[in-house]
Amino acid sequence: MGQDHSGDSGAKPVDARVARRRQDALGRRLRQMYDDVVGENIPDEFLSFLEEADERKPDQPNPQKKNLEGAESTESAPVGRTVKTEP
Amino acid sequence: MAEHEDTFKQELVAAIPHLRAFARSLCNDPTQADDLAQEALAKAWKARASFEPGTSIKAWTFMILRNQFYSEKRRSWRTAPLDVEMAENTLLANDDPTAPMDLLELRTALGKLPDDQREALILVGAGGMAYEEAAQVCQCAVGTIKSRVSRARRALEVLLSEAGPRQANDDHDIPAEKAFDDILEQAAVLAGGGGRSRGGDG
Repeated sequence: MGQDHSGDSGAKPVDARVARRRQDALGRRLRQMYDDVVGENIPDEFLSFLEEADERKPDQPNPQKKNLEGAESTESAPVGRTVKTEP
Repeated sequence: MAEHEDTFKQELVAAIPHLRAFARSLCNDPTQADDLAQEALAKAWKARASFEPGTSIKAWTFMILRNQFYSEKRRSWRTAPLDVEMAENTLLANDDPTAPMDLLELRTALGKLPDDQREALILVGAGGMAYEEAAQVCQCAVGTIKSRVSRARRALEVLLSEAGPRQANDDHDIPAEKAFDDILEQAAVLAGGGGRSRGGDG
């Protein structure tokens, strides 16, 4: 290679073009690192947690909620509120 | 009300992949990262009444996750240093044969940054967040985020050019410039640029 910078001081100034090229490359790696995870399938625990949370309604004690399991629609139970609960 | 909650939930579900990605960037162990993301999700759900509809749920949940991360980090178990072998194995699951070491290097270098710089760079540079949103997550001024991001970029550049493309610890004879060019080349290939051959200037 024609370039023989001695790599002894990492913080040496580089010309703007090289710096930009490096930063572009860096940006791509960073996004790739992040996007790789975004693209993964979501583990089941995440979704099942929300489904359970939906049934529990911890800070909103709602006895009618239980009826969803056993008796069907005794009153106007808030069925529409559930997003993806299993039948 | 029910409608609000439905919308909230849908937005929350949509944020999950990003929560996972943010968590993974903060703690390198994928299992710990998912634990962290799940805890954040649980907290977000419990705190849903305090979310203001119309604002960024991503920023809001990230803030929760971040607070969670640092409070647990203070309790120390998540500060385990990057286990290189484990990280390597994880990364090898990747499709691209040139990607693994490269990303491992990036993660290693990220791990050397101060917390505040790392998180700012992850949010803006990796996650593509606006400075304003990132500032909201980190509960600091926009200008602070900007300067952290730029310092982080410079520091990473230096760290990566010192690291070299492979087993940098043993191969000090690789000049920094070449090492960085190798990374650049790999990045170009990955980006589908057709792999511009190195040394175009020479």
